[in-house]
Amino acid sequence: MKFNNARQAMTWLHTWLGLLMGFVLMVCFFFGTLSVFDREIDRWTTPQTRFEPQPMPSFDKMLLSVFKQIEAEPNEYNTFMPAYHDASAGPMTPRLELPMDEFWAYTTHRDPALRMGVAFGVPFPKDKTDHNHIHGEVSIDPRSGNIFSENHLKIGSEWFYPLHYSLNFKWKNMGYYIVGAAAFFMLVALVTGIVIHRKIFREFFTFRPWKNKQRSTLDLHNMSGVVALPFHFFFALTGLIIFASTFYLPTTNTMLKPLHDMHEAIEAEHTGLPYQRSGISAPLASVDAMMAEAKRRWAARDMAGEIGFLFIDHIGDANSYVSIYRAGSDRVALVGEGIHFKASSGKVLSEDPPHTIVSGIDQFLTGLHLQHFEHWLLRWLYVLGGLLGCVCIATGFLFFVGKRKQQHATINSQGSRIVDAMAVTTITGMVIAAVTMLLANRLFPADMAGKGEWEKLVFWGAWLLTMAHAFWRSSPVAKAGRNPAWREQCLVLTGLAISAVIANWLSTGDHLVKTLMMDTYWAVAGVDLNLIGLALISWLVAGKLNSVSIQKQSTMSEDVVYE
Amino acid sequence: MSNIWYVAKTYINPVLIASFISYLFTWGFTSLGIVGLVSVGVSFHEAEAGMLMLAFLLLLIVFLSIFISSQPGKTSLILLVTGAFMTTAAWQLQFLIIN
Repeated sequence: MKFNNARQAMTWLHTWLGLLMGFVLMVCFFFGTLSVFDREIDRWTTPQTRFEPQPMPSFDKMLLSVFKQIEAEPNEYNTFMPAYHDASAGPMTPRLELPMDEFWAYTTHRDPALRMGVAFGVPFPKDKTDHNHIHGEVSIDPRSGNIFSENHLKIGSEWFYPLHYSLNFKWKNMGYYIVGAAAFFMLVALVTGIVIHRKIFREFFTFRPWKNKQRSTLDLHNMSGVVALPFHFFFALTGLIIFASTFYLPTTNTMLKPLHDMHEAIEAEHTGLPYQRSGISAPLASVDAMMAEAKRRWAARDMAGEIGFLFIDHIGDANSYVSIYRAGSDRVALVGEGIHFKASSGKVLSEDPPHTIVSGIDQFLTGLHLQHFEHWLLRWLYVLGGLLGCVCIATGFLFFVGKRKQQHATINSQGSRIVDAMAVTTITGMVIAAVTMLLANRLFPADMAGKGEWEKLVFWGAWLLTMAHAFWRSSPVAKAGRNPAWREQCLVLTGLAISAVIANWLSTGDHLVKTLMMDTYWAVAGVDLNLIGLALISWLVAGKLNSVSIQKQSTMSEDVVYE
Repeated sequence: MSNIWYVAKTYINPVLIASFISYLFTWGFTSLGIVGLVSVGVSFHEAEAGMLMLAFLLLLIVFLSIFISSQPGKTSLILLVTGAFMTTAAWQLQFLIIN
């Protein structure tokens, strides 16, 4: 394809890549926005975890006994064990007899539940140089050591959060690649958007809702894109960087693996942290004493803090070591100031060295994307930036359809109709799916078998229904009219959001008066308030759409072009 | 069916071809950069982190350059050959370092 000038090429890229990837980007931005408060959503969906976050509990008195109860996850065992196991070396070890190789425990300032996991070794591996592991994971109440039922899906951190970077599409990790492509084309759309909008500074301040619909839609698209431009560019770029070495540019794990492995071994020599097991068994010294020593060392560096992450490698071996990382919730950069101990003696092996300029920038960028910090105003600015991204993409869809539907009606094309139905599915349909899942979570009995799996089915089912509805009701678009599904789905959303708040009250007793005034618990109150806000907005939008006649929409100006 | 071919030829093929060429170029540049930095004494993970931070900005620039070039065919060919050359060079150089 040849273009007459660079601006024409940029306009083409902006329009078509924006449209094609906009549907994926909408999912990334919306669920990425929800992820800012994923742990708070977890509190709303798992009422038994509605208490205050706790510091890392005693390893010797509590965590060790919990680790011993963790089993390898059956699905992971069935999927990976045949691939890892060398049948010629011996029989396949049963799932419950796999030896424990690694322990980890992770806590945050926002999550009362402590997450713990075990990596189990494979006794007869095909590739002896690789770390072949089958994993098992639990969440516990850190006050008592009781394991929470795995029947409860943590909808915030285990469903909404991974949706924004993997679409929960796990087959061959395709979800990651689709999101990666979308993030890259987002960068392309942003740069081309700057080029084709020559009056970008003026557009920062331009929104004319009194003008015709196409003009004001384009104003809103430009303004939301320009206002949050650095935010959108930064998140798309850092999203790519975070997964670069694993998925998007895995040169060091593939082509340069020999060089990588050589440096892993050199690094292990420098840090004193053994890369492999020795084969000689050894006991585990008091980890509580190591935790106390780590805290003492951080305090001596004038950065006293709590433990965020605990990791033990090569369990039961003479080469076993304990790594203790500081909770970094008081800073942006994702740093742990790790201190490493010999597991059998408790002797300090090494401390993480001071950060170099490159690693400092990398940790800052990663930390800014993952936002583990406690700064609540900044977190709300993330929500605002994410929602502006959604507005930018949504108005892009509306402008695309509005600009073409009259022409498509004339030539009897279905293009605008399809794009419009997809836009309904991706905007109101996606929100309906999320809220329906929350409602189902409160309506399903707590002890229902496979509750989490049913909730996932409800999510996909609701989304598919909104898609069917959007296409079914889309015929007016083919005649340059408006799809009534927009208004109807807004009304459904209003009802669902209010129902979810009521269902939470009836199923837990945690109504807003209680969570706001009597026994304040912001995580639950915040989700309820946001649901009420969503109900109000969707009700107002439905009312507004109702007041605009179909005849009036069809006379929307088709003359608005990029300027 | 002719509509599908038209859409593929007009909208999808140019993007796919430009994506492949710019990705190959970025892969080669990043790999060669990592190997080059390691060979002059930079730690492996430092080199990796630094190059991966630059990689996607480079990918963006190369991708757009194909579209805005007055001779997209010639530009694509140069990028393709350079990318393949850098990839091969990085692959071979790592063995010189290891040995």
